[in-house]
Amino acid sequence: MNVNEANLLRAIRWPLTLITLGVLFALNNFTPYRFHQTWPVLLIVFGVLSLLGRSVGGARPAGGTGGPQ
Amino acid sequence: MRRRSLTGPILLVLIGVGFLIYNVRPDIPLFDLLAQYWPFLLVLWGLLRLLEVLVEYFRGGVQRSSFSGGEVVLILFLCFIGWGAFEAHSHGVHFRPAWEAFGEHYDYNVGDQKPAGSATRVVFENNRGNLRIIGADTTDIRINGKKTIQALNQADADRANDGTPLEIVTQGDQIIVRTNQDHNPTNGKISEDLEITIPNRMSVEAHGNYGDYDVTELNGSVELYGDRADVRLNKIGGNSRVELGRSELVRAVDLKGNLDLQGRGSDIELENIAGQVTINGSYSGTLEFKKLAKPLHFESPNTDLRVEALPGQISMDLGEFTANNLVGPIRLITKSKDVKIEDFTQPLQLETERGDIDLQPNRLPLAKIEARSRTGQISLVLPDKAVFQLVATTDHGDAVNDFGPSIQKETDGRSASLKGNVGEGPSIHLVTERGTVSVRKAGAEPENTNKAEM
Repeated sequence: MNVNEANLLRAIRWPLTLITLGVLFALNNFTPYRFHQTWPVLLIVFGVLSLLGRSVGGARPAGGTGGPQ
Repeated sequence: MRRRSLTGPILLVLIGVGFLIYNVRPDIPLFDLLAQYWPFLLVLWGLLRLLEVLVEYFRGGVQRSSFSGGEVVLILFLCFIGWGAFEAHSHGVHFRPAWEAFGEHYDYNVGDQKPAGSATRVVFENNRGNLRIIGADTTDIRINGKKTIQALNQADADRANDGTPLEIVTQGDQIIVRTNQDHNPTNGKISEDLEITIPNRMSVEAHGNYGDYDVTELNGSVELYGDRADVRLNKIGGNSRVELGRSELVRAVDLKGNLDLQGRGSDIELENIAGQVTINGSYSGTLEFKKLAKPLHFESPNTDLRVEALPGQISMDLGEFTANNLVGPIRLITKSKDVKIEDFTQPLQLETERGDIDLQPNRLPLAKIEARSRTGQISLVLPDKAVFQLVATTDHGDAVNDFGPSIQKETDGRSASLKGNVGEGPSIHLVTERGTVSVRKAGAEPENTNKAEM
């Protein structure tokens, strides 16, 4: 099950990053926080999700189905 | 087998809905809305993908969801276009589909006149176009101007003109002046530049999106709201309130009342204002304040400034703050500006993250001074007969004493400080983390500075 969860985390990583991207641009448009200031959040979100995937999964999932491209 | 993503079909539906709205309700500024709200498309897209993954997961399988190359390209494309669109939108560019940019401009004269009666306030509703409002010794409201309609042909322009009559309506103690541009039956853009004369005892309120305001010689109050507007106020008796989405210039001269300004923009020029001045917003151009009799409070994301009164002037832009002849207490907290203040009284509190500080109180008695720079040199020039208790320190840098033997220099590793008590005076505290601190007497040349920096 662990491997499965790790796969799930890997799978939701990109959608969550995309949502973050949208939120940052929305902040850019509606609040004083400009995108050129907030973009590091993207790295942080992606990094944290990757870390989570690692700690939950431990090993790489078999069969070459997982792992970042 | 992997199911195909829902994104494509949903995108198609959204585009369809967009065009439908545009065709059925041309009055909705769809392109302007998109320029602002497009990031939510990304959020929606992400949520859809998230949902797909979760559904798949709870069904038992886990599907990988790295985006396909096409999607990545589309997302990047959307970001660039959207960002560009928003920047253009907030700089006042408006999006009309290409086929509407054709057509011609048709001009119409507009005008009307009506006695003001006992009304005390005029409310203007002009979506697009410039308003010039002049107070005069008269009893009538008189409007003259030009309406410009963009249309494919004269018949369309006439139809647009007939659908958007200029109205002057009395409602209680208000008189409402409407240009009715939102009733335009065609897609063409309408803009009205009006010159209005009103009795100078009246107050003015104006709402619009695109167009400048110029208000002169009124004894009443002024309230101006605009999305994209420049404002000029001249000789206003009452209080003024200005809220703008974005401006190139706000100029106010000879106001007897308070001024309250909110918005984003470029330049501000204020001169000879008898009331309190409150500015809240972000301004990237040059700000000039002169002769403000009451407190000034300026607040932007980078700068917080409070001054009790300003007989002299302040000039600031993104990198520099220069002021002379101020009445304190003064408080200036800013991110990265070189600060130079001359001729001030009362306590001063000053903080800058990055920038040099140059202080010359020039007046006696001195008051408490607290100046702090994270990176930058601090230089203080004190009058000959000043009494004070000085502590000036730098963590990485040199300390230069040109004041005289009453101030002692101490060095400790890379840090240095100047300390000295002259009489029973207020405390002066200068701190920089990186840079030179120097103190000298007024009139003396800063002879040591160059040597010290070597």
